[in-house]
Amino acid sequence: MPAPRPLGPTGLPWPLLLALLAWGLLPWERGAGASGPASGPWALGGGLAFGLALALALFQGRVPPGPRSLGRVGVGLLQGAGLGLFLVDLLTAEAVGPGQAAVTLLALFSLGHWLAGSTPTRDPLLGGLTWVAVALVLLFIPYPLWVLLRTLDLGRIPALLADGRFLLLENPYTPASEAALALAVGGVGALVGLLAARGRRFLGLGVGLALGLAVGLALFGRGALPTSLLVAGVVAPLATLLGLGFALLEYSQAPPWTRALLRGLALLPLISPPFILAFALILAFGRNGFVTHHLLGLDQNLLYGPLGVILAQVLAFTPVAYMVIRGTVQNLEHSLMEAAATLGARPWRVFRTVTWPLLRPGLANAFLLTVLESLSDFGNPLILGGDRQYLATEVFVAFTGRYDPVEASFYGVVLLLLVFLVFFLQYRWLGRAAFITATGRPSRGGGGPLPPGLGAVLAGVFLLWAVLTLGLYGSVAVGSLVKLWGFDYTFTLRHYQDFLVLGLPVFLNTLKVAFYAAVPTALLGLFLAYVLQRQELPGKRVLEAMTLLSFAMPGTAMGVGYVLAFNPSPWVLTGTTLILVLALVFREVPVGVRAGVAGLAQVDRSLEEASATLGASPLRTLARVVLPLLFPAFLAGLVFAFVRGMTAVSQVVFLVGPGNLLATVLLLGWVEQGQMGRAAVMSTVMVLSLVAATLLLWPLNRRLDVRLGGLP
Amino acid sequence: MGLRLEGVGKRFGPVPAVEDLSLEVPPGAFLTLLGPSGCGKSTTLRLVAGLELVDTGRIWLGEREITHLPPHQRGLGMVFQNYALFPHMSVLENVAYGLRSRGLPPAEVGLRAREALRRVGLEGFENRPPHTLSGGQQQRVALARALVLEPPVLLLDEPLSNLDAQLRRQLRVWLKSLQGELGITTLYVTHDQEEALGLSDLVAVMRGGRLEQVGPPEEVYRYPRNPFVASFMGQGSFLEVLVEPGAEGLRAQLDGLGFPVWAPEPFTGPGLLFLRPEEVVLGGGSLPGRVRTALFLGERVEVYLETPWGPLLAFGPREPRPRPGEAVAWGFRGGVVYPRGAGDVPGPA
Ligand SMILES: Nc1ncnc2c1ncn2[C@@H]1O[C@H](COP(=O)(O)OP(=O)(O)OP(=O)(O)O)[C@@H](O)[C@H]1O
Ligand SMILES: [Mg+2]
Repeated sequence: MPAPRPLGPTGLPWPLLLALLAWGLLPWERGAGASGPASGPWALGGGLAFGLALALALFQGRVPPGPRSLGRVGVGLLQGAGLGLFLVDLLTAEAVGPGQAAVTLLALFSLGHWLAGSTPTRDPLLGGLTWVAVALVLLFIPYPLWVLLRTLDLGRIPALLADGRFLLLENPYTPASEAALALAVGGVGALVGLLAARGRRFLGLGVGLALGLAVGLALFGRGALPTSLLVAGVVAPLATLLGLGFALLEYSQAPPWTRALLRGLALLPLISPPFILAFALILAFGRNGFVTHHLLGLDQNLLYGPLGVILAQVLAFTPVAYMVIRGTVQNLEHSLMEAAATLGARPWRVFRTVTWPLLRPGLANAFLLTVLESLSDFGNPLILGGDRQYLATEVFVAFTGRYDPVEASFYGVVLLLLVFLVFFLQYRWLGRAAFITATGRPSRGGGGPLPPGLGAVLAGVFLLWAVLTLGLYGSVAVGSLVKLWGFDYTFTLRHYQDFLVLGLPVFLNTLKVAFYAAVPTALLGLFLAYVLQRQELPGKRVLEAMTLLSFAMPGTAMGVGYVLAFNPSPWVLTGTTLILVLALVFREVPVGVRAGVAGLAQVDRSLEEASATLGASPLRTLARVVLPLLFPAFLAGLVFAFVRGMTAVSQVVFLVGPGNLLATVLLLGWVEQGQMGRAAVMSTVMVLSLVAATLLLWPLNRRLDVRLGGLP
Repeated sequence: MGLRLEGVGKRFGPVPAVEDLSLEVPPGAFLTLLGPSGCGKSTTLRLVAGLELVDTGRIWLGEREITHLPPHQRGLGMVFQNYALFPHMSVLENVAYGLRSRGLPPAEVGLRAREALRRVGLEGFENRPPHTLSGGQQQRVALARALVLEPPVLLLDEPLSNLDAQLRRQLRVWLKSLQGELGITTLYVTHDQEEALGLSDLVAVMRGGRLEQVGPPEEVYRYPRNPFVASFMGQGSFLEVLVEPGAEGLRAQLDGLGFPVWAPEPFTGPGLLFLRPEEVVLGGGSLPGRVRTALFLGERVEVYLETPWGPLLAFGPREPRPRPGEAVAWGFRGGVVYPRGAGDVPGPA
């Protein structure tokens, strides 16, 4: 029977060594000329206290366990003191340097180390890592949102609510007053309500008036709230319906090529920045659009406004809905329907009593996701919004155009409230089931053959959609090769030459940032998944909810929160690569968590237990058993994080600095300035490289594309 | 090295899985935990292994208390019901895993791992991935993986339950002789009472998280302490009788006759008489009975009788086979009585 081995791989007190190394070598504060170890008395004292605490903590690991020994309490107090000193130091610093960051993380680590070490089964090292992960999640997900909420000045809310940009904006160039029109619709609603509700007149009147006013405002109001709701209200049902249709088509009698086409075409909008579709729509249907201007000879600008935004979003988000719903359709056991039929149920009854309840969670999920996507979509309204306001863009315009953080936070909070409302409604309708996405087992499910008429209609709709999508992406590719879209369609490589100078450095920078973000995202995601699934941790549910939070939050709201939280000292991070990476990591970490959870579900718990009984420490078990088995999940998380990092726009648009542009932001700028050729080149290059990145995953794709759908 | 549990308890939420369990496995002994599904056998094993933490009580390994040690510091060998072989490692790597975790030099690791594989008769399988092995072979790899570390105690959770009956029988014999050879203290979990009787030096019967009886298999079989243990270990029937004091010990009253019986705690009055079928002698007494059915089971015939005291199971002759409806006289050699109403009265076995 060997004696229990001391902690650490070689028995060396390596956290202590690392801490001392960081403290001694890394610059303490950021900024020009800052270098060398800490100089201030706080930093010095903190460093020494911390070192002492760590040394004691490591000594701790070797003391045979005994509950509440005096030494333990003493070490805990010391560690607390060390951490406290660091926090004070952090608050007084000009700008946090790598030295401070590293030592603070190590202090946190050792605190977790100590706390976990004092409970028998929790491994000190794992405990330390858990603490660091939790602290990072807290700092980069709820904290910026909290700052956003704090910025909101309650006294200004009435004025902001009354502001034309929020609800109702008068357009002096239209013949009738917008308010009058909205009121008229409200009046009609009231009348209808009065007539329809025979018994309870007042109720009918009230409901009719409210509904009528809502419709009137949505149609004529032009404010951000009604417009965003109008768009989401049209896009979500349409995209869900289309998604359902395509999913049914795929699992019915459709020929194999339909299936392949469906998969490929659905992937395209999923892995490219969504506003490329807005851009392509301008090329095809804009004022100088190829179809509208050249083929039809029209001269219009109908595209600019809710119609265009809706079109772009339906095209962009139908694949999201399709991916989610196809997971559900795939899991429909055909035999269930046959069983119902043999029990004597007619087709419609089978649908109502068996198919629909089974499909409902998937549809609700798809609906939820498309509503969220539509509300938080930033690029499409910015490009195609026309003379209307949208919540997500208004956050940006208020912050960067009108320099009004309070107004920006107001719109951000309205967005957050809407998101919570949607989640709440979904929860009320479905209960917990709503939040469980299909795992996408490749099984021979599907709803069985469709009625002939429905099949033909679906096939026709799909064909139309396929032609439109292909045409749009194709026109972007062509647009990159012609002189001046709309006027001069001669072949040229000039835009590519421009791109080499203007776009390529930004594109490479984006690759770099996305890659930097992808690795920690996948690792942190796996680690959090492991903690959530396999470790006892008080407040685990809260941690899980927080990671979900960052996934549901509209990017612009999160972006403003980041600027408000991390621009002031001691962070001073705006414009650095670091903050871009951090923003991406914590925005995408749910992808990593989801991949990790799905992967862990495949790893039997007894493997880890076997490893433990064979004498492997929890960290060794993690490294030797869990991680190797999770490698496919890790790879998937990596590629998806990378793809999403490349295409992110709404959040990072607040954080980019002059020397630190990202491709999506630059592309958005070019489209807005009408630099169609360059924009087309950038779009083409991005889409091609993203397709290539995704193709790396092809062997895994079959298992994973549903998961991707769960996380647009 | 011996293993001792003192007042061990564990709850999952409000439900106690194990309650106030005290148990001692002497050095080198083979102790089997036996009981119906969900009675807390696996939980007990996992508490010993450190995979679950005790709520109350203490666990000792020899002279050392291990109650609060994490599993990887306990140094116990464990074999899982599903074998838990690492799918991303070869057979040899699986067996070498624990040695590597201990930081032994690679040369020694290889040597000892191969030796362990040879011991379980799996030479030549070193480089195979585990999933290409048969169930019995996987079982032996799991055993080699645990034994190669020379653990002071071996823990086995229903290691044979995933195998077919034939293989189970073979491996049972092999396991018993290997354990004897190594002299390793073993804690074994099963709900197969035949397995428990055959393998163990000591049997511990559990119910609802509590220990009902511990002892050598013969003792537990012959002198079950309560009706539950009696009915769970082997077959038998309960007859409703009157218990009276006799000249030497207790007597059970049947048909005006007094039969000497044994009781775990002496009492008089209404009682339950527990009779093993092999103790019942058909045609060898004067007690009345009538055959309900007779089942031919190869080496023996099971005869189900109706008697004035309740249904009774006995072993009968092959020839002439007892016929349904036929009246038989019977007697018995010895039985155990329990006070009526004490504990659950199980139905006829
Ligand atoms: N992790 C757990 N969480 C909640 N309850 C548990 C857990 N593990 C076991 N239990 C409960 O504790 C009781 C004992 O379970 P245990 O697995 O020890 O039974 P067992 O005797 O091994 O049964 P079997 O023969 O079916 O394997 C059961 O009621 C079980 O439901
Ligand atoms: Mg069990």
